[in-house]
Amino acid sequence: MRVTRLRWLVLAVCFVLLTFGGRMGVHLGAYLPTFACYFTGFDSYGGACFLAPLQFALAAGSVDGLLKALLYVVIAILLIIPLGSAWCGWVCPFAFVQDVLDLIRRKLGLGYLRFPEGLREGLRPAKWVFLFIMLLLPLWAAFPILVPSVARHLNIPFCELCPVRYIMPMLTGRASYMGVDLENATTIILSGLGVFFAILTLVLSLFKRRFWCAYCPMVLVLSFFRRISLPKLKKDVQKCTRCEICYNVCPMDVEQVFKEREKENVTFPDCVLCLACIEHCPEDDALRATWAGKTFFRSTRKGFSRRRKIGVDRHKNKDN
Amino acid sequence: MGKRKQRLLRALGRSAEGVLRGLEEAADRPKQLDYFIEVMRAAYVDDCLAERLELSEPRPKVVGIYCVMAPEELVYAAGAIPLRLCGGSHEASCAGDELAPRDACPVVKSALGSTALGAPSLYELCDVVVVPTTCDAKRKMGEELAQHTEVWVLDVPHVKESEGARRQWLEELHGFKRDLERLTGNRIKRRALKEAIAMLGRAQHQARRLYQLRQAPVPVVRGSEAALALHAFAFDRADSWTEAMTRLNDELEERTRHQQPSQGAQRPRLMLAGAPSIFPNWKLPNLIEEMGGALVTDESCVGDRYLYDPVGAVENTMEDMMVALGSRYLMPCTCPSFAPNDDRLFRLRQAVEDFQLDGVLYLVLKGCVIYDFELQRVEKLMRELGLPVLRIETDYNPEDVEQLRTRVEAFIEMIQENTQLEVGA
Amino acid sequence: MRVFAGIDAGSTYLKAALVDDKRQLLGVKTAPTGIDARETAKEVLDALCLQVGVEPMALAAITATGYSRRQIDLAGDNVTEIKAHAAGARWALGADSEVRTLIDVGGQDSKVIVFDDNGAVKNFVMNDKCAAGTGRFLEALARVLDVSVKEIGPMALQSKLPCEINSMCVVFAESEVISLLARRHDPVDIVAGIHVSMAKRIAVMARKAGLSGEVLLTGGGGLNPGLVAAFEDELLCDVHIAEHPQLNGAIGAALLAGRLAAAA
Repeated sequence: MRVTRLRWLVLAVCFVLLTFGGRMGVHLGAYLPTFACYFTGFDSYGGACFLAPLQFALAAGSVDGLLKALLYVVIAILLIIPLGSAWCGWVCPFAFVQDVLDLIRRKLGLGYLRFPEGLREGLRPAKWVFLFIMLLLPLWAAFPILVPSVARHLNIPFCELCPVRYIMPMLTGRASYMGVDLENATTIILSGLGVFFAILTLVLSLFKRRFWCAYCPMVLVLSFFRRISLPKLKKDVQKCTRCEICYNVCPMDVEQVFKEREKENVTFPDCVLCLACIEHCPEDDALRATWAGKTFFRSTRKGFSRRRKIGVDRHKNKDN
Repeated sequence: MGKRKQRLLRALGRSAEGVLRGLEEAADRPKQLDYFIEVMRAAYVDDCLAERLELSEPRPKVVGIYCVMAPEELVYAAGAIPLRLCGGSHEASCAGDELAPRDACPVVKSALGSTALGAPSLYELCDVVVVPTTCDAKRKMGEELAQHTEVWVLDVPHVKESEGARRQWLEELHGFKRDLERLTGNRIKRRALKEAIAMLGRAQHQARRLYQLRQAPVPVVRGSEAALALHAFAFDRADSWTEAMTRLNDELEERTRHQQPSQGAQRPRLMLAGAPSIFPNWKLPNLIEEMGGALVTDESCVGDRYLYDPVGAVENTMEDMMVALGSRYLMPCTCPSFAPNDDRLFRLRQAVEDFQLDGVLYLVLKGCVIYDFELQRVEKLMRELGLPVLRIETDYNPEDVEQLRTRVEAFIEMIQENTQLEVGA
Repeated sequence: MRVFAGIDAGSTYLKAALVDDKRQLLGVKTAPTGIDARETAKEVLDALCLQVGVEPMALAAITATGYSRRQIDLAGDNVTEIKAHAAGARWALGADSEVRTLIDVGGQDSKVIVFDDNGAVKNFVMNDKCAAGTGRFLEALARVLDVSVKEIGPMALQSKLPCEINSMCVVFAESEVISLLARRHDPVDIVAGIHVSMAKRIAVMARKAGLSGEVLLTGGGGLNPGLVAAFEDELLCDVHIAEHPQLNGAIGAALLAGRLAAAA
């Protein structure tokens, strides 16, 4: 089976389970390092993103809250180790939404947009900004020493900004989230930006592959563990012809994989381990995926040709 | 037909026929090689390529292509026929002597001579020629060709690394596409391009099959034969060529299974690196094989590198296919006109491993400075890998064959002696 | 006792050598190649056999080398000069020699062969395009100076300050020499300059081939002490001369004929 097809299947199943699993009796709790939105509702989600409860716990400001936050982090790490960035490529329900939008683009025959290097570099700090907002502002809410009137409303500042919080609940019938919270200036600004990001994400996902993922703080968090998490993308630099196919098929526009000329480990920070690069690499063993050091998927020219239906040799070699 | 053209036709036909006869004389040649010999004969000896290609009425446009950077997929998708024009004829290069500076390489001289005199006639068959700006000689050749025919210059960036260069290259290909549409009057449609990519994909797949078959420890095909078969792609329709190549590969697979070597299995395995040996300049491939070497691979843009890389389109949207073509025809190319060109050293290192090479003959065509420049790096690499390198500087003139023979023979002897010593030790 | 013959059919001289199966050199003979190398080879070999006292028909094997090696039909086998010279040098030098580079200055070409410690050929460079750096270069210029080729070597050694000869091409070098004579330069200095120029030219080849260890000079050039001195100055290392410099190739071919070469 083609890896892409398998990935679609896994993504779709995860999407259903995590978004609607609650209605079918699946309850994994809000511990997952993936964007299964917490705000799809307790009654609906089968498992949810740990970032919302983490922010709540930080904003509580108590020792108890901090311990709880620590627990969330530890559980997340334990979940990250075996899957690594595959959480983004294979599990994330919002990735599924983006990939569906991308599929619509393809069916419409539209090309994808690739931001120029300068813009990509300029936007790279965005996820760091989101991460700091997520970790620091709730603490400010917990200990409102300065401007308490603003701080009071910063319990879950990242979620307020996160486009996923506005989009995913719509799918579970909570359309009311999609709107600006007019309670006060702080909420207006935060939710206003959030709605803006949500619309931007929905629209641009139709043109740019995995638009949101480039700014997603979860991708960043997962990348912190790319050295110790078990799945890895590896490259044989000698076998690589630098044909750039891996870059063209990469939904995350990771350029370094084809450019790398020294290191074997090419699990770069933006990699979501979708394995499309291995699937489309035309050189035998130039790219491979390993889990705990064991190769489970490798590139072959035969596979490349077979997928394009150009390698159907008339008689199969019986000896092989 | 002008007298000069007639004379040139006769002269280059004779030397081309000599090469083809030489291949035909080998009784153990693969049977399926004859198809490719006939393609070359039609192009160079019988001068009847137009008839062979069976160009229906109204005659499709024919696009002449130099170098390996112009995507033939686009040409086919526009309903035109591509022909590869890089020249390898000594006689044509003499005719081109007066049209180029003395130090220009024979490839350029030969192309200029053939274009100016229209011999072989396939040069006259082209409605337009595409000249990618690779090396200085090719770039200036484009300018000179414009006196005789319509020339489209394809601006190839020389530094592949930068994103700007790659974007500009993509723009250039879009321009090429528009030009083709204007020439043929056909809009290049998504489906047509998809089919063209698949058609050339099948050709590339077969070329890769041959490449892999030649890695077998016992060579089942001569280097001169394999090079001719690959080269014939230049003058054939892609689908007919692919069919013939499939048959050849099937035959060679059969030979591999029955361990039928084409020449002695004990021969030193050699690579012909450096500048390309373009038909009918079969000087070095023939010398290597006559003097007891097994020519198992080359890195020539009319040989093993010609069809090696595939197009990696996935989405089959127009834009995606154009991006994939842009990548295919720029990025993996190891022509020394690119700088930096470390990619080439990686490819060579891999070839040494894949083909279990014993030595490298490095052809420097007189006037080809860029291949000569990279010789030092290649020598350094090969020293590291323990492989001897023999640099041979020559052009298409057969006058130095005897001197070269001694050097090639001594080189092969040297390798044989050394491998014997290793076995003995 | 089995006897093996080697024939080195060079452009100027044809050389023949006989060795026995104990790798002993039995005899050598040299004659101008002439027009018909095949005939000359027959004559030289017959004369050599007579001199040594072996029946030509009793020769165990004959191997030819040199420029006209393919014309020598009485040889059962032929090898390139590179291989023959390598074998000859290994024989001449013995195991503990420091020589790793052989420079052969022949009539029509010159070559540099570099060996590894086992005596296997590591690399070689040949000059085969024109007469620069070959015996012909010396011959032609000696003629301009009206000196015999035998004399120019010792003559060059007497010079204190060799003239500079810049032309590589024999024809241009000739006119350069003539103009030096016209400017009343001492012929001794001119002759020395010619040797230096030639050594420089070949030294470039030697460096390209990867010059290492000490040098063995063979070919007609080995008979010329002026050239030996010029090489020593140019390469900055000891230059040895084989016992039979001109016959190195023929001896090597004879050893190869008996498959005795690798035993060195």
